[in-house]
Amino acid sequence: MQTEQTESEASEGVTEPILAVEEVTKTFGELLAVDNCSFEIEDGSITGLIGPNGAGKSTMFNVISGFYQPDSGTVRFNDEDITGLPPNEIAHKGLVRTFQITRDLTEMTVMENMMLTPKNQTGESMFRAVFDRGTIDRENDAIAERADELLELFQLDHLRDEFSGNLSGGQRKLLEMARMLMLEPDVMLLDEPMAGVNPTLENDIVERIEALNREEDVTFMIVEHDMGLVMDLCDRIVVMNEGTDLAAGPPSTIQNDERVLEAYLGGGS
Amino acid sequence: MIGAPLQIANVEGYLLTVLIWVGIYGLMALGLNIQWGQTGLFNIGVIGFVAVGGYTSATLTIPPSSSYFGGFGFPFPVGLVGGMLAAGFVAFLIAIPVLRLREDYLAIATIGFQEIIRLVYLNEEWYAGGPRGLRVEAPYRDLWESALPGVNFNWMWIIMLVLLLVIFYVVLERLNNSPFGRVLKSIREDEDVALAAGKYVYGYKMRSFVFGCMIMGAAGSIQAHYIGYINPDFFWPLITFYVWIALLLGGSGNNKGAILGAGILMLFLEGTNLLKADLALVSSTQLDAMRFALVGLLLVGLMQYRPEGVLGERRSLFEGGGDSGGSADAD
Repeated sequence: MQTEQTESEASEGVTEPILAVEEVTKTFGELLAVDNCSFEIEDGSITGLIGPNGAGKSTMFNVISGFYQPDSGTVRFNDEDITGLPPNEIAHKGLVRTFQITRDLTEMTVMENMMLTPKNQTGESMFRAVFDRGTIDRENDAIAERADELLELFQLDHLRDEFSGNLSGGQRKLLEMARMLMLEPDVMLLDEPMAGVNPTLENDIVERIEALNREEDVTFMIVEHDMGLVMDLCDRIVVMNEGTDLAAGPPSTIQNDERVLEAYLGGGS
Repeated sequence: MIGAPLQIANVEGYLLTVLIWVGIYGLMALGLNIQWGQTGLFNIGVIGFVAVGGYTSATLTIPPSSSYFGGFGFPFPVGLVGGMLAAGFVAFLIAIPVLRLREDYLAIATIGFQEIIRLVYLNEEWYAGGPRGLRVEAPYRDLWESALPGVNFNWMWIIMLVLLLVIFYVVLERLNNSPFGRVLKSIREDEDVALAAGKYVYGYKMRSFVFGCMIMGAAGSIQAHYIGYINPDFFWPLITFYVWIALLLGGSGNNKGAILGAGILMLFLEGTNLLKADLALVSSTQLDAMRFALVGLLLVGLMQYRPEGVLGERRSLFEGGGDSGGSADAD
């Protein structure tokens, strides 16, 4: 059986799962968006989450990141049950996400976008913000230094003081990733990071993802519709269909999985 | 063509009065600016919080009597701080359930609150005399008159208002230019991004809302002691919209703009008064009706030609406050 094969392949790897979704179900009224779905993400991997439109991928992301409460099932991150935690707490644990439609802080500059995210800033307290400017200035300098590094890496440094609303679609995608990296995450969930991005910038984004994965040990889970890209970029693929996990395994196995082909080609029964 | 003898006789007094109202509206607009301009919180019950501040301050400072609640005879600063705390506390109670919901619910709750609180003050006569209201003494009058005989006492109010405006301005600017202010801005732009960035959005919205309402409470306290009298008729919802116009005129998101907007608003309101007094174009009742229309016209003109206000930070008024709809993308 295909599933047994993929499971045995997964267990051959030395790394344990950093993120595990166990029998998650999410309904909206009568609509069953995610139906008893389970999969695991290995630490240090780049995992693709694919499936036809309406398969429940984005809903799954929203459940994992805390934006939706699942009806049942659990989400485990670093061996900790994070099911039902609010999104801000999940983000601070090191599991961050980007949005399918880029969410802009349009009337904040690129730099302000970057400096927003670092956690536990002294100046987030109202009292300290008014009376402890020295500490805040010092912290801001340190944060800005890190932000400048990342902006350079993402080739956004020349746009540092530009309002993010004036960036192109692809640049916004890059900014969103860079902004979330300020949290120094262990896992990043990227919801269609290449949608609406021109091929040159697409290569840039792919390079960034690979570099972050290699050098900073960030684990990625990526929803993406471009199959060629997913097969190249990802070590492992999870396929969702009709709200549930259909198959999981390395790209070579998935490419030849009959059920996956059937799901994509819309074959009946 | 300055014809009205009353104004010639007392230009100083008239200008002082106008300036005092600029200061009072300026405080209200500053309070609204941190809520709407910086956080995107849609408070359309401004005058309700001003009323709570005014009534609390009055009750704390007037002498005891059996015809109203308390009368605690505290000095004015206690009244001012008490008024701010009371307005902040009421804001906190309203915000507990509402701030977790979509932003429109805050609008509904606050607009309801300002009407309810006015009716409470109107009907609970045991508390503050109901429609009769309370007489509130101006503080420091004896001190002023013995120290500066012959100088118009209203200068005392000007000094006090300038002092308060400067203090709140500095505090608000520091907040705005801090990580705290960054989070407020991100909530204004898109709450979900703030959440995804690990910020406890509810807590920030609460702090912004309560602090803004405390400043409105301070405005209420000053207003009550300046007029020397308080009753429910000072707290009609129309004032809320004046404050909104002041903020939108001056430039939402900009603290200087909020104060400037209060100035423009008073210029406008007093300018229309001159229509009556000096040009005798319209009768007093006609003018009051006309003013509503003019306020509407002013807003329409503003939207068309300068949607960000004179010193505005935001490039548009009613977009970009984060789409209030779904919490995250659907598949």
